[in-house]
Amino acid sequence: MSWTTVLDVIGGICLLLGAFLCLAGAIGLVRFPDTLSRLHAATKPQTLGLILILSGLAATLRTWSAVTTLVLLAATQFFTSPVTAHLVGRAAYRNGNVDESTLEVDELSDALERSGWDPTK
Amino acid sequence: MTVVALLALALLGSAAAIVLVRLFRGPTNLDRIVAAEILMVIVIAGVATESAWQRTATNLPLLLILGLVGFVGGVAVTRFMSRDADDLDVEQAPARPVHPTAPVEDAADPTHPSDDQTDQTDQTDDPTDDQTERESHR
Repeated sequence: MSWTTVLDVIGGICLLLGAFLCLAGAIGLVRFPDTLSRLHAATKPQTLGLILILSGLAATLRTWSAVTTLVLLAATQFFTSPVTAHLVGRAAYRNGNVDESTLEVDELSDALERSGWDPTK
Repeated sequence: MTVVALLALALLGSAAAIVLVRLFRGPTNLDRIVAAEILMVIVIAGVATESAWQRTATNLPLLLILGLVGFVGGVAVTRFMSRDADDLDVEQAPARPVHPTAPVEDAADPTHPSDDQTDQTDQTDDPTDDQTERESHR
């Protein structure tokens, strides 16, 4: 059993796991009740699934140029996904789409209240 | 590898179909933005799977471009959504001067309530901004 076979098997397993995680994130997107929990399903399984698929592709291609490009792509995904999630969460809070009865911890509302700003008045 | 790639593409295809359901139904436009982001990630994953299947590196720049375009589009539309809710309320209130360089949160910053008394230009904005914030949260 040569190295290329081992890497091909690893790549195939990574591809399958990543596709499964993408499917799991999509199912969570449909089943979760409000925007913030959908955001949870959108960012974490999707990012991990994409990383797994990209590493599967890297294990399949096995050239340094491909690996560096894929690492760059994964890094941009790591950096841009939290930015989008933060902006969507902020817009959801400002537009009043957050159901406060579903929140276990609500540090933002508490901090706004302590700062003297009353959203109910 | 062909079987693995076809299986992965089937999983990704069903994931894309499910995401399209959310994109169609989504109660708010924010849900649609989230669904569009996921759809872009699924497209990237599909192209990556296809190039692993064909063992070609030609699609790698395409992957990079798709990732960056998806990010920029999502951020731009989300930012537009967040402002849009403010501007909708302002339409019913007295007209508010537009500050293209000032972010929205600066005008409604609750930590500096005394700024509005000292600054003459911002004094006229103050009731509008308060009402905007109130209505956008309730």
